[in-house]
Amino acid sequence: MDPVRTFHDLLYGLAVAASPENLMVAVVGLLLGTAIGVLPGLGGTNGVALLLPLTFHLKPTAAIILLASVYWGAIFGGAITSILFRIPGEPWSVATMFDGYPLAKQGKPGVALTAAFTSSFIGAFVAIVLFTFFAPPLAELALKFGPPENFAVLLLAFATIAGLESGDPVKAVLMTFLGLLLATVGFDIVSGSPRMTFGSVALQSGVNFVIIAIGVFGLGEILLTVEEALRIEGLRARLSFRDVWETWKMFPRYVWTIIRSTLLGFWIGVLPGTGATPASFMSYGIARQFSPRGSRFGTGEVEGVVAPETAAHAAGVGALLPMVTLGIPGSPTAAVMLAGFFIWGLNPGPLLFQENREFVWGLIGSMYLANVIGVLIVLTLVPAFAAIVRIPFAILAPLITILCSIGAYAVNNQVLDLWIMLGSGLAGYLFKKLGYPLAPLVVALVLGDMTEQAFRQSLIMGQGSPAIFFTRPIAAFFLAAAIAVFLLPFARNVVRRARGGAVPAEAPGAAGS
Amino acid sequence: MGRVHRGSLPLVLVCLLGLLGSGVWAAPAWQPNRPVEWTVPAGTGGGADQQARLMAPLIEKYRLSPQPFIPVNRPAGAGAQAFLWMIDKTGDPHTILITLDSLFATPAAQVIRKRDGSRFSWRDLTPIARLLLDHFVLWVHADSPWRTLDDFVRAAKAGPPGRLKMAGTGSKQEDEIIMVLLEQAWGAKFTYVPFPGGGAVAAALVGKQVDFTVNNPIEAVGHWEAGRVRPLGIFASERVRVGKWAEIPTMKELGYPIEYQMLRGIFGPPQMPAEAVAFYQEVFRRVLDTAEMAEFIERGAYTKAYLTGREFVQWLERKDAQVRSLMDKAGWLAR
Amino acid sequence: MRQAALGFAGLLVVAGIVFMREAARLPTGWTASGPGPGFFPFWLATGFTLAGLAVLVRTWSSNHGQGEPFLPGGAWKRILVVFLPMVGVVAFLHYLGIYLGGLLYLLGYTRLVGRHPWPLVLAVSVGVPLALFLVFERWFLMPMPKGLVLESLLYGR
Repeated sequence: MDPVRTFHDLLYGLAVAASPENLMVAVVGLLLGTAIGVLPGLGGTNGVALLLPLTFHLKPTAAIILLASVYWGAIFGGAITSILFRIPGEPWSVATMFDGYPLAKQGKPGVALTAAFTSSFIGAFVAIVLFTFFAPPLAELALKFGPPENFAVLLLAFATIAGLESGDPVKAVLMTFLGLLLATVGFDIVSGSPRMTFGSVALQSGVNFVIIAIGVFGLGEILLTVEEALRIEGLRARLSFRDVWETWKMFPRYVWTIIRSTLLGFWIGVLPGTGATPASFMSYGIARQFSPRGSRFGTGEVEGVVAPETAAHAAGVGALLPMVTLGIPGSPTAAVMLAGFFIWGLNPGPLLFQENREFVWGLIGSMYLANVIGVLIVLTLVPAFAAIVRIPFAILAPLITILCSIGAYAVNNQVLDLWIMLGSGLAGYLFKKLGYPLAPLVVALVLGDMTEQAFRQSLIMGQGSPAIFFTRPIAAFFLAAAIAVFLLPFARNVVRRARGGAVPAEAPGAAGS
Repeated sequence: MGRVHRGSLPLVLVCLLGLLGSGVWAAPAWQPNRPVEWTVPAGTGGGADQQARLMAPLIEKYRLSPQPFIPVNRPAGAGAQAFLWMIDKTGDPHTILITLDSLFATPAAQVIRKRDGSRFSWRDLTPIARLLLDHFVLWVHADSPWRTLDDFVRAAKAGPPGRLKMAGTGSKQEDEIIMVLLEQAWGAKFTYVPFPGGGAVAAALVGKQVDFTVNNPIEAVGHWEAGRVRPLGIFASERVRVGKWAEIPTMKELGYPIEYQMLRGIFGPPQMPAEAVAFYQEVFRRVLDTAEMAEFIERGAYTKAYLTGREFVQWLERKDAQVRSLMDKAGWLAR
Repeated sequence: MRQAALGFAGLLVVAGIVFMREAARLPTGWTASGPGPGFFPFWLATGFTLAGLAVLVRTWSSNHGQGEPFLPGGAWKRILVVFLPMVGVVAFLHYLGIYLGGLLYLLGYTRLVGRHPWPLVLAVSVGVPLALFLVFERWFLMPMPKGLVLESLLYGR
């Protein structure tokens, strides 16, 4: 693609997006999206689906700008509840919780929020630049990723986050097994039949990762707080814009983490069949391996917020790429947007770039503007968001519980999920009390399903022979990388032992798929 | 709440006229007095979901109903969750369902038990209307050496069994049923690779992960326009006579009388009041006549097939018998 | 503490065996085209059970937490006061729905546990469900379980 021509198109797109009418649409969309992202279980997919009817009265360009802004807003908003209450607003903000919530608990919610918003912005912004200049060739490359490649990438994701917990390794293994096991519950698309459902039709929708995360982290935390009888008067948090500035001063330190996470997230997002959630976990895991302060991850490291947020939002941009260039939705949200294309009388697919220049470049232009406006909006609101933790616990706790219930119900529109949420809340509390780590559970749960599906699809394609993983170069490359990363902690231990140092307890973590 | 009664008078008149015209007397026309919950037995982004999300705003735009229609996804168990939800809503006039062929295939492939222990079948539901028929097209990659169906059939018969791979949506559903039909017609054996949705299936073909698909037209049209995939034949009774779709020969013309069309219809819960059924029939009849739907129908090569009443039920019986016998031959029937 | 840890690990082992039995109802073998649908569930359940046994043995052989109470004094009551009403709201969802159930839950908790003054209690417990109702039912058109009581209040019947 000719870069000069692209640059021209981009200026044109920015001009389209910056018309007063479209700007207003973007601001409205961003505010709405942030609100949707804050509510657990209610994600960008819902927001986009719900707003679709409204877009009838708008021009296609304004309509896609509205939907895209909702999408960006939801991405920003997802981090807020993760950090403040340990409740993931969106699936990909679970990894943000690991360090974001401890920061908030230490009285620094402003720092955590600023770090999250700023790195979202950077990740998304760089990804949009990549999108602008390299969209068509990247989409072509993504098509080369079939089930065997997806399997290898997912295995790599497992390898990078193995040993996420430094506690009892046996318990970490147990929780990994539990997560993988729960991931198998539901309707198995490969065999076309239900499994592990104990005869329940409602369980055929599977044990949803968001519901479990809401339960074990969110409700579990409420129960722990109640037990300790702490914080009945709310948290004392420092609230000022100084947090923003002071957090920003830390950012140059994380430049490599940011670059790595952006590239990783963007690429994982472009791949159909993976998405932002594995990207966020992988990025967190890799940052933990590389960072000099890696051993302090999980106790409130700013870098532990930066890595997953950057990757998740770069992935959010990446997921739109196959939709625009190929008409293939990279995420459920993109799939709903695709339905919108029909409503507006557009033909999604490879010809869209040529046939609807205003639309495509307006969309790309709006991604730039919406991100800039979005980060300004959420940053000005940091003190307000942080102030939420000052609300007395006796009001906050029931409020959170109700929001969690609505969110859990919204996932599949069934009441059983509320029971699952309550059950996992109680289980989460007991796990935490008795020293069972929770991170391996949710990581295994979110990746297990996709990994097994890709594995079985690959074997079907290879007619039962695992050779398919080694004869396809891309798959073989990622598989080798996964094995290398997997062995890294063991290799380090061996080296340390040879030097006579103490061997830290390292969890073998997620073995196999 | 402000909009509730606006535009309802013309609608009442239309309904009354419709009833008079058909010579049926009924109680004064029924209208919803709360939002209509429209269950989609599949996830967001799929074909049924796309159609519901396209029609729902059209119903609002053309003021066909005093209350909005709200699509709600209940994807669990290839439709099983949605079907049982409808059973729980027995008699409720504010609940409807959009269907695809999982309405026949899922209750055949797995035993879905209602609360009283008896087995679910589509006969439990109240048929409202058949709206569209969705076609299936045999697609291969544009770079493949197969220019005609004959080329393809020769390749299918030649290689070792299972060498050619087909991607399809789900397992033991319409895509795999069609593949089994082809296997039986040609004495060939294919490898079936299940994917979670039509978009992913099309991508697998474009990315050369598999050799062919039987994607619905709407799922593959973009790739066709871009010259990445090639249609070899359509599983319809006659050619679809809109736009470029007319160039695709039917399988029957090519010597293989295989037909398969997917139902896109509307159902109500058991014992839905007759006045409510009449109301929805009227709404959907008029939705199908809107300009937006006309465009959608052309782009997706759908057949507009509005049908209600006894004829619809007879059609459903035939369709059910067809699906069951195909699944029986493939050995997928659950007892 | 030690008893609780032992009991919980035992519970996990039992759960693991239940999972194994459920998985064993499916084809757990390795077929010509890869693992059957029950292969992973069965072996994962087996691994889970073995890990549970390992935890059980290790807890048994250590004296960690001997004699410590599992919960600090009075914590029992505080936890049940939070948790049981949650269970109640879900159990009566069919009748009360999420909005009325939420109202009662907020009312009870803010007043009985938080001991906040009545004006605040009422403002929160009526205001929040009302706002949620407007957001989900009116604005986003996302039907939540409203419950028979609210439905009959809203629509008659």
